[in-house]
Amino acid sequence: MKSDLYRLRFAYPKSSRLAFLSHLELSSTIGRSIRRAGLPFAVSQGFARRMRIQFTSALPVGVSSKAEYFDLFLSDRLDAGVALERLSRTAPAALRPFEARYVEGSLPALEAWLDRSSWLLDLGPGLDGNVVDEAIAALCEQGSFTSMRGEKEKMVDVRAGYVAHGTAREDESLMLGLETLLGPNGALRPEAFIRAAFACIGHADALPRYLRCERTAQHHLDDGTLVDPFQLSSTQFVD
Amino acid sequence: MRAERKDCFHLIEPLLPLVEKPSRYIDHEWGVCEEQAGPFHVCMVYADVYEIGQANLGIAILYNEINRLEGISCERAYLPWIDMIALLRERGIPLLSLESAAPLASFDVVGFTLAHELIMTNVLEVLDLAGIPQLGRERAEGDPIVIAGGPSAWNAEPMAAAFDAVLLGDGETSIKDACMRIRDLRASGTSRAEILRALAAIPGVYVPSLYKEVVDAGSTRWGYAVPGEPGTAPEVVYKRCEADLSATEPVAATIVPYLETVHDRLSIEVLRGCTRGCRFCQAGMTYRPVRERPLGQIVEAASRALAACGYDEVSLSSLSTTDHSQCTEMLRELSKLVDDAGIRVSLPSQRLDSFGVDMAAAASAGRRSSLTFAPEAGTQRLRDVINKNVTEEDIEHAASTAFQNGWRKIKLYYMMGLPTETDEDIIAIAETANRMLEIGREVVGRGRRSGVSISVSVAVLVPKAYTAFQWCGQLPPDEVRRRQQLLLACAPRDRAIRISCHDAHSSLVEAALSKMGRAGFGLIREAWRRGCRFDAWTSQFSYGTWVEAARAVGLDLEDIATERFDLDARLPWEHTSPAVSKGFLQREWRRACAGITTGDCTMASCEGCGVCPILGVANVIQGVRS
Ligand code: SF4
Repeated sequence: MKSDLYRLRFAYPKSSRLAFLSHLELSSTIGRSIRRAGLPFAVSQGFARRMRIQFTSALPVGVSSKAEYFDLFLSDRLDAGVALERLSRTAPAALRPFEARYVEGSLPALEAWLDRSSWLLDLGPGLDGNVVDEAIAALCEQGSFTSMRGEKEKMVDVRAGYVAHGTAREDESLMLGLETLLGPNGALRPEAFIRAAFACIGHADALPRYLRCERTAQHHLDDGTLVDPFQLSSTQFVD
Repeated sequence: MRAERKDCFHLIEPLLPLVEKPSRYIDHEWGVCEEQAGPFHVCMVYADVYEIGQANLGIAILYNEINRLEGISCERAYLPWIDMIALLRERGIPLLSLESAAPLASFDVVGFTLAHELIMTNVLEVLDLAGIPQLGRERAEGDPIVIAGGPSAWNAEPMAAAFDAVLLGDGETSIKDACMRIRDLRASGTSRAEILRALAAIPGVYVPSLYKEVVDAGSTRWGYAVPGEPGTAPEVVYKRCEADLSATEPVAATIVPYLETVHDRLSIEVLRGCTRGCRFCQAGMTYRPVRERPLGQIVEAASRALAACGYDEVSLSSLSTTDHSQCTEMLRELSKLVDDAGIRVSLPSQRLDSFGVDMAAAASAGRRSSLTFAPEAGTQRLRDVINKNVTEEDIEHAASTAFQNGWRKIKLYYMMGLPTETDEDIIAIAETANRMLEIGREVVGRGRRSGVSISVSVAVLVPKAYTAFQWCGQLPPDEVRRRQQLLLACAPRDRAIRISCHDAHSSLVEAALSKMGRAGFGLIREAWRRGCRFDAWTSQFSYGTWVEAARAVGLDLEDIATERFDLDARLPWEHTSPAVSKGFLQREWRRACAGITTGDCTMASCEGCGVCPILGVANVIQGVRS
């Protein structure tokens, strides 16, 4: 990492229709928003000269989020508030960043560092919390499940990815809160997880065809404590 | 009856998790004209999926032109992919526009781009999904006026029954004229029939229903079209032509898509028209004369639009960008502008006869992995027949320049089934590929890892209206296959050379649709009824279904495609003209047969094609072409 670069971390949502953007579409959209904003981003050297930017782990297509992050490497130091304001004007409303702070350049890459995710799933009406508990317990017992990633079948290790869950009723719907951990083999996809859990107890049909799902927070797990993505922001970088 | 205009996004939202690439349907891109107040509403349709249609520059230009008009707004619609189409039909949801998610059938005007012949079944699919009658004569007073334009409108006859009006040539001005006329007449309660008659009075606008088809001894079996009642419509509708291109906007597309499209970069139209005179090329005849934009306008537009759109690549687009008299300066200026931000400048294709060090340097800034050249024919003799004025030395020089400048992969485009073609011409394709490989290995080295490779792609000639080859029949498919086999058999057994041949069957359908008159509609509709759509997609094209459809309407595709027309016959498309004269094309055909080439009027004297005097326009060259 070049030391004369400044690492500016942005927090942004992925909401409404734009939840349907793929990770590639999302990253190119943000890249273009940054170019429109005229931020002094750094460009990688070498054959393909790309913008120096890091994203968090990919959200499944259709899943929205309240807490996405990216780190942009700048070649000039620009006041974080000014950068935030400029980017807010050139980003689509559904991805508009709401916070920006400089962080230390030596931190690990965002994607690996933010390893804890919180999710909220709308399981629809007509389900009981106890059934959900039972299904998840059965899946944990089973230990793993297979899910399709594109054309390929993938083995998912439940114990490496599942942390905790809880349910609550909101209006008619049963809401499932889920905590997951990024394992050595990647992320646990909440929808695939809960479908596998219901399949485990022979109730695959009990879930609606379309599950609304949202990532509500991301953290770094440091020796049992949750670290906020901005908590590490070092004050000496702020003017 | 016109459908009600209302936002129906809630109908398709629940379908989004169920389909491939849902971002095709979500709208809300950067640069979209969200303000769609109308009160007069136009929807431009590209009858293929979003990532193909959104890249079309013609539609993009018209979208912006119409939205600039007071009181008229313009939206977009594309044909959903087959998964979404199935869901729409299953749930009885009509086709919607993107911006306001309103039913297509609720618009005042619906406009299609005819980008190629194989899109025609998709046009019928769009109309059907929208609930708009496919036949113009079946549309009710309140139904949208359905118009079309684009490169394949030069033989619009096979689709004449579907379109209320067809706009010929440059659309910037005529689309506005047409929309404003329709709006004013609709507002005054004028009948549909009267509106169509009024449209026929606008220069460049062809109203098919005002013509009747006549078959006689002087015509082909497809006949020709004449005004149904004398005086209601012009005998010949000439295209519209923007004489001063610099007065139009050089940045066509200002919408920045989420989805990666087939042309996912900023595009600046640097010139329009090409007068090289390749005898197979329809665009080369129908977009005349050449109109270059001034250097300053191009550079200004590129810097403005890059800042506004945020792309990391700008493409200088046109039929022949490197022919622009200021091309070298343009590339130099642009590279100054964009270097720091990691932006690439790209050129759509390279000319063999002008690929020098300058171009190599400029194109390398685009860092494409391979370089594309189009010799089109294997021997000098055949290149003279088609008027592709490149020599053997040009090809060899271009290859060695490319390899010396760091390229390792070269793509070569050829055509098969050209008039007078012999086996010798086919064998020469393989020989050229081999020679280029040798040049590459001499420059780069022979080692396994030198990475030098040549890929050859061979299409089948589709004789098109308003070219010197418009009278030709297509090579019969059996003979196409024999020549393809011959080429593969004589290609060197070297893994660094890859030869791919275009599917003879889809070219056959394309050729048949290019030649037919109004009777073509019955065939297209029958094919669509039997399930044909997305014919340009190899995965979807079903030749068998086309053959059955043709049989059902008493036609034979091969017979149609391979038919040769008499040089003096009255052709089905002569009443819709790009202003290239028939005499010129006949002369070009005779010269082709004699192997005599014709010059480029932007570099030497006028060749008398007729466009300039008929339309009152002229070539506009900013510097000097050499
Ligand atoms: S009329 Fe002459 S100058 Fe004009 S495009 Fe034709 S050949 Fe060229």
